[in-house]
Amino acid sequence: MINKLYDFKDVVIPDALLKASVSHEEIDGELYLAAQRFTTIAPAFDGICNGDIVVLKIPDEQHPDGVQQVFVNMGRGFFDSEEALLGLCAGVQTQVFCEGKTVPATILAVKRKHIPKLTDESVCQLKIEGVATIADYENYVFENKVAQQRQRRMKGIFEIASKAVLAHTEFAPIGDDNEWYRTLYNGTMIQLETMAQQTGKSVDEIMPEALRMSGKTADECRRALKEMCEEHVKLGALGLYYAKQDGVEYTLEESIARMQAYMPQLGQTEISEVEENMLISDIIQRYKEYFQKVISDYYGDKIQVVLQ
Amino acid sequence: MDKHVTFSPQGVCAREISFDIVDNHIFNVKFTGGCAGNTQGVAILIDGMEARAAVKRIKGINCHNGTSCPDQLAAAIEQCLSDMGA
Repeated sequence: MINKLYDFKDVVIPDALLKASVSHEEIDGELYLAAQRFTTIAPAFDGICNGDIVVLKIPDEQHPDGVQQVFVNMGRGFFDSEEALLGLCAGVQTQVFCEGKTVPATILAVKRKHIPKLTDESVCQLKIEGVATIADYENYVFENKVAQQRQRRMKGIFEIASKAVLAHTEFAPIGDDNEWYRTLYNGTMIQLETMAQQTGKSVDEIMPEALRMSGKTADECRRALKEMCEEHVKLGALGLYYAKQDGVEYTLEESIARMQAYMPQLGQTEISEVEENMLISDIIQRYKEYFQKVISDYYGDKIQVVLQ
Repeated sequence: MDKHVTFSPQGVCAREISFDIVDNHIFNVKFTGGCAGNTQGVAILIDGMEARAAVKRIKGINCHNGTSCPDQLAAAIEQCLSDMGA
């Protein structure tokens, strides 16, 4: 399918995508989140503050005891008189606005959360392989952040690199005589026909919405679908090219054999045409992902992540 | 007994659920992962509810795999109540 390949290594990737940083604040934030796991909750005897959970006793004629307990999660804004409670202590009597009227209330208890400082001992309780100290955990968080940054940037890099390669590579004409293209285009059209039958509408009517191309005419949708299939086939072909070089091959026979192994469990005896089409689509997708992997492998180490 | 709970849900998009249980009432539910809007909605609606009443409402809700984020929250609360011998 490829007449003349444009090497993705010649694509100029913007510096912004090749540089990333992880801040100390981000790592401290993760450490604080880890410490939150060891939060304890205990009665507080000083003034109520936001974040406390306050237990109030207020009169309630409908309750058999004539009173009810109301729980206030301070600072959430769910209780009308939160501000009036700030600074008061357990045991104090006050007035609160509750269910449309002002009523007397007794503060039965104030419960406060305490987040302890992370220690080597608590880090061990996180049960992360190879992490036994705070320093280990900081390193673990940093490595995770680096991996995230790399993954995010790789998406952008692949976008830029694949666009350039698609634009500059010379492909053989892709049309109905190409099995991959035919499978993708016809497969989508069969799905659209099924949907149309189920909804009692024509393919042309459902096409814009089904293909997420609202506002386009049926002809415009068809053209766009053809372009999408063509691009998908080209990306698959690029993956196939690099996979071959690495001695990797995805065959329909192998996919069919894998599916046949599961068929008795599904009570199936043969693979339908639709299913075979799906297997071909899957192979194209796997080759496309192979192309992505080749680019990731090349640029992965070129992305510099620094701790700031 | 009052407790802060961290739970690893199974079969849902959320990776972690945490909450406080104070006098058998649920507070400060936090989902890590999952549909942000839905899980925040569940967390706010449940804040301050009696634990068993909350379980009664959200247990059995299905999203996929026969479970959901709220269903997993119910499982976490039930496990916590059982651990606390409530």
